[in-house]
Amino acid sequence: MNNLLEIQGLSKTYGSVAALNDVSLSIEPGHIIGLLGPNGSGKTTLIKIICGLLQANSGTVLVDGNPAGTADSRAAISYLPDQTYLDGDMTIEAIVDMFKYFYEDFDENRAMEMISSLNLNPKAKLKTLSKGNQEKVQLMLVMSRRAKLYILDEPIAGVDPAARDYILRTIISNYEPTASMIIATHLISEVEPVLDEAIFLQNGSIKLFKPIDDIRAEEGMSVDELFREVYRC
Amino acid sequence: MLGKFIKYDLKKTAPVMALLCGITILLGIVCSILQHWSQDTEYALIELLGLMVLCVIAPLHMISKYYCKSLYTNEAYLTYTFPASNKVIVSSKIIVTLIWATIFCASAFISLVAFTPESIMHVINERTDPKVVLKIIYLLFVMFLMGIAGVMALIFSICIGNLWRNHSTIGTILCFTVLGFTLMFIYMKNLGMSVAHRGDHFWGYEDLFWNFVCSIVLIVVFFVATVNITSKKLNLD
Repeated sequence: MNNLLEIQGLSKTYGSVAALNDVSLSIEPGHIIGLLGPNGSGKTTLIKIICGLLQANSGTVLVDGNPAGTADSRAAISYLPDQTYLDGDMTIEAIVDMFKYFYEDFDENRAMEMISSLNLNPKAKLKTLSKGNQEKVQLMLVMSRRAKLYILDEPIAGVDPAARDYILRTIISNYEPTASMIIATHLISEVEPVLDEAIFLQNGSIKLFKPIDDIRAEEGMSVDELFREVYRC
Repeated sequence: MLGKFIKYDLKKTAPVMALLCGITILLGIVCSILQHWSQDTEYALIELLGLMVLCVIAPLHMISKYYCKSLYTNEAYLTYTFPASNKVIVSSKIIVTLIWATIFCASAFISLVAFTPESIMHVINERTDPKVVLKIIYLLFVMFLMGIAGVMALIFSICIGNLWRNHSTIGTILCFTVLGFTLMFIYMKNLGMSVAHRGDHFWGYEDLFWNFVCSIVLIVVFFVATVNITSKKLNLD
């Protein structure tokens, strides 16, 4: 089986600070991977390079066999950034139409079902919604695509526990089984139940990349407990 | 995909830009009617000042609310994740900006013509030499190209300014100031050289030729440079 994501020798520096240091990893289709690490460990930098939003200093990134940042690699990725990135002056309906216009794999019916499940008015402007609802709308749009690689950067940070449960249920129920998903977060205990594998990132390097079951069996503790031990201040 | 981007962005920017163009044309018509009734010359000043204000508002809106917002703010996370290469994305934004710049220039011209319809009637009634009409069109076209080169210089300056993450605004202003003075120098030098070459002190339409050429070259150079630099140096923090 060809790897969906292939990263070799990836490095990125900001001045004298190494955000990523010789990172290499491969991800096959059909896996949900937690990209875990404390603030400043390089999670968002790695994600942005995969999505073609940042230029690496060295190394290669192939998404479904295509170099990162090309049209084909972007078509394969459905990305949720860690901030609001949609035009607040647009209505939900207009944003759905925009996704439908640009993405061939966008499922409009799925998107509208999820939006109506939240009792949101499709004609409401995005900026009139609460922060939590804005993030849910963004998540729904991302999960309504039948992409090959879903990348969610801190999807549950900054929302209340009930909203976190909703977001995680939405992720699991709308995820394409043949696709892979990378969830970057530092809220390990919340996402651990949905993960197949975990990547621990520290100071721009991969410290661990193992299946969740192997971590529990070998370490005798949950991923959350292991994370607290590894990253203890 | 380029056509798709252009079509979508033209539709999205149409409400505000069509309104601005409409106001521009309406300004000329209203001032013309009021001047005809009142015979006051102050409406010429209102028309001129109104056009000057609109000539600032229209490009400011396109550059800040459309071009910069979609490429250099949080919305860039959406723009640059659409299934297209960076070159296609940046090219589409520049092309849409230039299309609206062209439509706005046409609106401003229509506004001026609407304000002074008697000048057009004079040309038609007196059966002015077609060569003179062609020369006037040539002059207007060269001035239009020089304006577009100025818009491209601003877009290029924004691209250069954003290479310095923490000082993008200052970088843009500095770059545009230098380019602005350089463009003015080039245009005036071209005019002066052409007049000097002819040996008299009169100004003719043939003196615009090198400004015509320079404008086209500058537009192409700024376009290619902006697309390539923005594409290769994309770093969204």
